[in-house]
Amino acid sequence: MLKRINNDQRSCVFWLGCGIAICITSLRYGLGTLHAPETGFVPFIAGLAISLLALIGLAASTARQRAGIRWKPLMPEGAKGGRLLLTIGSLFAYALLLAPLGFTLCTAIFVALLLRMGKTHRWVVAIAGGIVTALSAYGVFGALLNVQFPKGPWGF
Amino acid sequence: MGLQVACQPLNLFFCFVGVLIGTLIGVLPGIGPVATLSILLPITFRVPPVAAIIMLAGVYYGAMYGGSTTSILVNIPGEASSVVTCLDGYQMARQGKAGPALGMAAFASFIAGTLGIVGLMLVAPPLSQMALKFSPVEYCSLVILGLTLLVFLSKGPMWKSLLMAAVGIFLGCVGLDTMAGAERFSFGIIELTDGLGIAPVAMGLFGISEVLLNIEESMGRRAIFETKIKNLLPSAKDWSDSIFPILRGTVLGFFLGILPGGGAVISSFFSYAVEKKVSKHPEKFGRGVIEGVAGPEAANNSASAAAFIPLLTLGIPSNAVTAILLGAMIVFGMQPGALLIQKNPDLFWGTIMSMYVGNIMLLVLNLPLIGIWVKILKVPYSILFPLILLFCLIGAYSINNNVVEMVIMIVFGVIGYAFKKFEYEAAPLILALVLGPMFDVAFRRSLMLSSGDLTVFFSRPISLALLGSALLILMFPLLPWFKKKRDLIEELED
Repeated sequence: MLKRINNDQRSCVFWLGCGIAICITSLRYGLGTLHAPETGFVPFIAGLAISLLALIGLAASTARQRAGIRWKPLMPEGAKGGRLLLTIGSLFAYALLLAPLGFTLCTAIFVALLLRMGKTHRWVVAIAGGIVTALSAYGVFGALLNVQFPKGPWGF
Repeated sequence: MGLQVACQPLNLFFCFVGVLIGTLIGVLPGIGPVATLSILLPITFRVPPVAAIIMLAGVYYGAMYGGSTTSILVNIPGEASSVVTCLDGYQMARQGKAGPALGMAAFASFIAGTLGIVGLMLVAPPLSQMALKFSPVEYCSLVILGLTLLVFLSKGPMWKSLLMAAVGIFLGCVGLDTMAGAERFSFGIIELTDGLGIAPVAMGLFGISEVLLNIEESMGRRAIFETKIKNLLPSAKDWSDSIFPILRGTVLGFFLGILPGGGAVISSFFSYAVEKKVSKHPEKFGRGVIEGVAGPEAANNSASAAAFIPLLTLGIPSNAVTAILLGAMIVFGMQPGALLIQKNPDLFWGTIMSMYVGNIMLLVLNLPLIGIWVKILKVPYSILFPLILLFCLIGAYSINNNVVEMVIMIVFGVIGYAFKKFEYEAAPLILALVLGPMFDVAFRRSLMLSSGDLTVFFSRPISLALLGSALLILMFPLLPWFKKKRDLIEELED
């Protein structure tokens, strides 16, 4: 059953849920009246629009599916899903470790990991690339453009 | 005054930096002007506002020039607006005519860009005067028309684009309600009190998501068509074949570029379709005719100039790029719209005149530096993508020296990636995010002023005209002849 749900149907169910949640939360902020609309008024209309459009999308995608139209798979053959997850994980890790480790070290590790990803470069090249990039980025953004990067426990 | 402002050394420098970066990102597939503008936006907070806007504008129209290089040499469009240039440009390269193709693309862009700027100078001031008559009611209707047009011109089913616009309106409501002073949808997160910033959201939706999509595939070197690039100056025959396509493309691009939702992409496709239609040899299109390069390149540059008209005169961005420029102007404390000419004439005329200067710089940059751009194209994506991600992270952090902006950007990056997978376009969302707060205030004020009478939107003539146009546009897809044209354009894109 789940396999027969197409991409549009999946996304429409998600949007329908979002739309309803937005409408319910907007009610808590208060809608007011037409001559004195309150804080929740416009978000409620937006939530209502999202829900209605999701229902329209659900109907349209169901009709297209019945007409024999197929959807592209979400991950094409040969797609590197592991690379994708590693990159997303690295991004979040960078944000979390930026303050504790400091900009320069955090950046060097981040860039080295990504350069090494998929074994596209050797470790030596990746680490060297990470260090050069981190120092250059500090030089341009930190020193020249005066961005206040966090300094780690080692002072850089 | 405009020329005086544009020729100040600082502004000239930033104009040069902008067009250089714009050409570079136009050359590089995988990162576009929207992502680049959003990455550069936080950095521009440290420079004078006029210089910042001049630089960001330079990035936008510079990217239109650069996109044609990869289209012609690699058959990969550097920008969405250069997709059509692949059809004949690459074929010309295969026939040993890469030089004339690149040269004509540069000249067509210069001519169209210059004529587009002349049109901007002529149209903008009277339009600003008209916009002074706008009340909250007209602004509300204008936002609805702008969003409807963008939705109409987006790819895919209209319900998806409308849904994205509705999501954008909602996201624009996150944070403090400026009318009532109450928080909404921030759930106690202090950093969300000011709402979702355009920069991290745009960087995530366009920059991070594009990288995530690209790294799914192989990250090896691109196969660049190895040919000696010679004779960059087009011949007399090339000029005689191209001059009318350039002029037609300029006019078409200008009028499509003014429309919110129009812009460089759709105008380049329309121009190609028109040139094929009027040509005495339509069967030659797709096999390397110079008209197939000249017309679309003229159209996309003319459209990029015209896109500034609704931004500067009405304060309504016509696409995602100008939405970011609008965000930048608001951050700098400027009032985009009808009062911009009066309150910030240096910005208004300085930006327009800098576009002349920028066009000259681009012509000079693009022809002699083509060899360098080709070398840059050979940089593997495995080296580029960590740098792109790093610039995005630094850009997001530098907004408020706060990691929360980074997290917002990464979250929207994942959301943007999901949008691409499920085939939702992010442009309507970003436009609605910028316009959402304006719409919220204008709509509620209109209702308060009219004591809750919704007919006020239909009783005022300008508002009625705007909403009537929006309704007509929504009904267009039902017309069979329109559906055929849209299918043709989607076929061309595929």
